[in-house]
This record gives sequence, C-alpha cells and structure tokens, in this order.
Amino acid sequence: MSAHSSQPMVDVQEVYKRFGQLEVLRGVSMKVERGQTIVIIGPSGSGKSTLLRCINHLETINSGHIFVDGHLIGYQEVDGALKSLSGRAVARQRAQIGMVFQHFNLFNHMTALDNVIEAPIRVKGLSKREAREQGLALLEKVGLADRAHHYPVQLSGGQQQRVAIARALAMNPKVMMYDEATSALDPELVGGVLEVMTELAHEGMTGIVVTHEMGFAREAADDVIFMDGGVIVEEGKPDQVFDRPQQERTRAFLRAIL
Amino acid sequence: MLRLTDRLFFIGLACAAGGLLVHPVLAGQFNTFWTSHLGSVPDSAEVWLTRLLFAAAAICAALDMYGRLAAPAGSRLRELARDSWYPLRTISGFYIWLFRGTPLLLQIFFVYFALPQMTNHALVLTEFPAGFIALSLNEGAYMAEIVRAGITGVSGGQMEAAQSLGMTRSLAMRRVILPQAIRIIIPPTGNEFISMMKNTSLVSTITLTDLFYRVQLIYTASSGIGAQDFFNLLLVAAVWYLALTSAATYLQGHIERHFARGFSREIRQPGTMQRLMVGALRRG
Repeated sequence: MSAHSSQPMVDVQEVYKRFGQLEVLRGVSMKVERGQTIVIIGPSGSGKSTLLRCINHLETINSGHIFVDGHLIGYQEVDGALKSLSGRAVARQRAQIGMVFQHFNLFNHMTALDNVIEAPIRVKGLSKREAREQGLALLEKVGLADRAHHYPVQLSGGQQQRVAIARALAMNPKVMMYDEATSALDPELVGGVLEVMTELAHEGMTGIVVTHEMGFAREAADDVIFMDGGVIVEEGKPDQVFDRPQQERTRAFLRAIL
Repeated sequence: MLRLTDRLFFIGLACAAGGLLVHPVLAGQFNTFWTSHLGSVPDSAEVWLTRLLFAAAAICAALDMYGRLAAPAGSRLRELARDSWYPLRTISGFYIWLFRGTPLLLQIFFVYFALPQMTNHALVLTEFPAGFIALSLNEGAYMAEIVRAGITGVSGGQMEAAQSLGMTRSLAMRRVILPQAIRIIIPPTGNEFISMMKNTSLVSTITLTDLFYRVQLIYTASSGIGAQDFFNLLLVAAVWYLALTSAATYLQGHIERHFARGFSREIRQPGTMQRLMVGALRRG
C-alpha cells in the first residue's frame, strides 16, 4: 500500500464509537489534506477528544474506517474481513502520529531533554548523539533550550506543554493532534503554546486541533469543524463558520463562548 | 540494558555482601559479650551468616519474582478485557491468592515435610533451601500486591503518552511506568522487608537455628541461669534485630531519594551514595 500524495493525510469514514450504552461518535467522516490544519470545536461531551483518540487508536472504534497516510489504523484487511493489528504494529502506526494532551503527560522522572529523546532512541533506534542533537534543536524551536535539564515539575504549565510538543515532533510525525492543548493553562501561558502551534501550521505540518481558542482557529485553521452530540454539525472555512454559521446549534454554541 | 528488577536484585546482593563483611566484627563483639556473661556460645557466627543470607536472599528472590510474575500481572490487570494472555494472569492470580491466604508457618512445613512425601521422596529439600523457598514464595505474593498498587498509582496519562509516541506496552512499562511506580513501591517494600526479617524466626520450626531460637537454646542449655541473664540475652537479640532493620531503613532512605527525582522542585546535588547508585543504574 503506497502512500499517494493526492490522497488525504487523514481520512475518517463513518466512525462509530460507544462506551457501553453511551454513543460518543455517531457516524463521523472527515478528511484532512496534507499540510492542512483542521480545528475542531464543540461543547464538552461532543466527541471531539474521542475522535482524536480513535485516530491514533488509543480508543478502538466500533465501526467505520480511519486511514492515516493511506494506512488503515488498528486493523488489516484479511480476506475481506478486518483483523486487529498486533500491539507492535499499532505502536508503529502511532509513532507516525503526534499527540499533545491537555495535561501534558510529560514523563515526570525524566528531564525535558530526556522526555524528547526517549522515543527516538527506544522506538526509532536513533543513536543517543543524534537524538540529543535533534532534541536540543527542537527545544530551541519551542523556546526552551535553556530548560533542557529541568524536570517537568520545575517547569510552568506552558513550558511543559511546549516540551510535550517538542517530544511529539521528535518522532517526525505525519500529523500532529492537539487535544485541548491550552485548556489546562493559566491565561498568560496560553499565548506561547499557541505561537508554537501556529508556527508549525504555517510550516506545513498537518494538524488536527481540538481547542476553544477561536483566535487561533481564525489565524491557523484551513477548515473549522463544529461537532455536537457525536456528529459533525457544520464544517467550513473559519470566517464562514464563525461569521456566517448556517446551523442553529453552531450559532448557539458560538454565542455561548464568545 | 539491565531490567529494573535486575538492578534491584544487584542492589540487594550488594547489601547482602556488605552485611557479610560487617558481620564477623559484630559477631565478635557479641560473642565476647555472650562469653563474658554466659560462657561459650556455640556457632553463633554461622547462625548469623545464615540469617543475613536468608534476609538478603529472600528479598532478592521476592524482587525477582515480582519482575517475572507480579509486574506483568499488575500491568495486565488494567487491560483485562483486551489482554489475550490468559494463562499468566490465571497463574499469578492463583499464586497470590494461595500464598497470601495461608499462614507462612504452614507453607514452611509444607515445603519441608509434605513435598518429600508427596513426591515419594524424589524431592527432598534440606532445611536451608526449604526455608528459603517458602519465605521467598510467601514474600513474593505480598510484593506482587505492593507492586500492583504502585503501578496503579502512576497516572494513566503516562501510559497513553508513551503509547502515542509509538512505544509498545512493555517498553512503556519498563521505561515510563515502573520507574515512577518504584517511588510508590519502596516504602511498603521496606516495611515488608523488615517484617520478613523477623518472620525468618519461623524457620526454627524446621530446625534451622535463628536468633531467637538461639536465645532459647542458650537459656535452656545453661543450668542455673538467672532472670537477669535471660533479660540480657533478650537485649542482645533485640540489638541484633535493630541493627539489621536499621541498616534496611537506612538503605531504604537512599533508594527513596534516588527515585524521588523529578518529583521535587528543589534542585539537589546528588550525594555520594546516590551518585554511585545512579552511575550503576545509568550504565545498566
């Protein structure tokens, strides 16, 4: 299965996800083209975080298909039927999908630099020297070169989140996903993180961003998706969704948060 | 790359070796004390050698066992539904259930007396291996639960972050979860270690001479021994117990500080002991 440059980087087709009785995703389909940044907005419980977690198979979907760079995530097709991939194969797929969490989830027992170089060394098999060089460059990029040897607990939330972004970038992912990356931050720390995310978007990194930061969405998003109740309610260019929303639910949501 | 459990194993081994070095000196002192008060004391040195070895070896075995049985069991508890390796889960669950649920004394008797009969004397263990195995198995079961609690104590986000970077579950367990779980595991492990040191007195029932049994032997063997002498004897025994448990406590403090890195905001210079250990661990 070779990756076409014409096919979308992320292709979500008719995805359903249930937690017990609760249907969190009810037939979600979306495409993210290469180099595009998609912003997903919506009320809490609308399924946007779950959608991200399904894309890198942290959650298994109940039906539908998810392709990243043309590869079916989490399954392989054997004689027309879908079979679960082995843990190792899923891990290989995840290595190509960067994920940034709301609560950073930095490895507490490692310094910032060790956080960044851990996976490149253990997963990609980079030499320690290569990984360190790359890691320091990435920390420099997110403005934290001088914090390389600090432990997460010694960093502010904003700094931790920027380390987390550097950590994800160190795997050279094909797509970056941000799950409410700034929601847990003090207001004055949000800007630094959004700056890094905007810069990456402008550099052509494919991105899926779940956020409540409408300013970021206007500046960096190619498309905005509004989700509610496990379905995509509205989708379009940022100014279209924000300034001329077609759906009443979108209007109500925007009124509530702006 | 040494596994974490192996590193702990070597630390335990180093402690045992240290204990053996110090032992003759201490034993000499106490022998003098004993001799001056109570006449000659037969083979107390050997008894102590045995005892120290017991304590060290049993805890090493327990730690090793946790690596092989308990840690996988603990990590698997979290994903029961997804896990396909049913046999290991069943075996370790059964093991913990059995050895935590029956008295240690019964287990010692079982290994020493019952095993030979059950196997038609194909499997006969002498006192030391029998005591060693029984203590280890018992200790392993308790350690397993401690380790499980430690693993559960590490935030689930750590595993998710590791997985999102392409780590397999086992790699994430080894590099991310266990090093953080250790911090939680060490205090109750110190407890267990000390309680097990004292539990070794139960092996006197299969004629292994331990400290307290020795005290009783001396008392019954010495004719005309007074109440004051018996009191002194008990004091000597208590001092020995305290010497051992203090050493364990001291070591525990150092290990705790080592694994506390990244959980305290202050930037500390590592101490000598810590540098030695970190060096040994990092190289592994």
